[in-house]
Amino acid sequence: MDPNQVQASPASQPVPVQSAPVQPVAQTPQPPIETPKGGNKKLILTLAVVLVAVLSLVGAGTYYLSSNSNNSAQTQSSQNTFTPTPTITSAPSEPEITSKGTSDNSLEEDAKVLDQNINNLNSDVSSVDSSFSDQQTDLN
Amino acid sequence: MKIFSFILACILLLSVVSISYAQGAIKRDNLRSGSTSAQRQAIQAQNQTERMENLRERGYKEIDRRIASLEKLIDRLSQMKRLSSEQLEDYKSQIQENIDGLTALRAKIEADTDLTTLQTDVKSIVSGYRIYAFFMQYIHLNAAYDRAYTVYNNMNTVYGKLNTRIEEAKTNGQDVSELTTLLSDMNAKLNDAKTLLDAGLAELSGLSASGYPDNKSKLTDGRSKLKTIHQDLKAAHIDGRKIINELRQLNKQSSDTTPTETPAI
Repeated sequence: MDPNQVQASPASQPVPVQSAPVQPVAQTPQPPIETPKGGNKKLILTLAVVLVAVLSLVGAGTYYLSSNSNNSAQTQSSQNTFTPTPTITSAPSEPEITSKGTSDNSLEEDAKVLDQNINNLNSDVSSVDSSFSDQQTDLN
Repeated sequence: MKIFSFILACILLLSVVSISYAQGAIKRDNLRSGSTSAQRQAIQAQNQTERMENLRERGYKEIDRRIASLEKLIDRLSQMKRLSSEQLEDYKSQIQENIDGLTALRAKIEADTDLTTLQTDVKSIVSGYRIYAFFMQYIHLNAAYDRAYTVYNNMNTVYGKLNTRIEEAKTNGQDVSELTTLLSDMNAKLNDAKTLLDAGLAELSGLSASGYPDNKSKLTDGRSKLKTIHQDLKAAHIDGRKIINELRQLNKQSSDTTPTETPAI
């Protein structure tokens, strides 16, 4: 073998090409892509919850109102008002003019009788007013 | 995403609270009304009994009040001067019939066992006894007219006395012009009252309980006339009072100016 002969480096030697085996790449788990089917589920769930909440509110409100209206109806039925029937006070006896004199004293006595007459008439007119204002009450 | 979760949490919280409230309300309702059908029925029966008792008491109260008023009307009738004895007996008889009817109705209400019958009977206190309404108005009106007539007669008597006194004063040379004006006004008021008294009494005389409520307009007109009569008589009374006071003043002035006679020595 020639010593000057440069020995070929192993690098220059043709290297047989070897195909390295493809290692599987460790992949990080991807979040599942939301499919349209999963979105519908959430929407339905949300709607259901809202519906339940609304129904509960409506139910509670209805119960509250109905119990209140029952109470008020009972109160109303037990508190039927009546227009008081006019009471009649026994009529006072009517004084009359008895003296025939025309003196001052006699006229003063007459004036007192007339005062009493007018007071009694006032009372009678009030009784008439009461009897007309007694609109027959509806007893249901 | 966070906002959505927050809203969702809020809705859930709200729904839980609402459901809890509703359940609580229903529980309370159940406790109140009784959880079993038997309890509910017992409570319903108790409610109906209470309602009937309440209605019965109201019926008693109205009937008793009407009977008391009608009995007092009979007393009032007895004091009326212008009624004939036949009219008086006729009215008393009708009022007594009304009282008897109400007394019988009271007994029926006491014996009623079902709510529907009781309600009908209590209603009939008003619907079946309209005669009560008629008599309350009619007798009161007649009583007031009766009184007004007496007042008119008394005032007319006093008017005559005042006229005599004014003529005397005039003869004595006193100034009676103001008194004459007052007396004239008193006379006019008395005449107006008399005209309305006659018309009102004529209007009332033909009315009967059987014609009620068709004759209610005549009762109302009678009441309207009475109000005017009342005003006329009050005005005449004021005139009379003024004249009496003026006459006293004139008399006093006259006695003050008359020279006292010196006793003869």
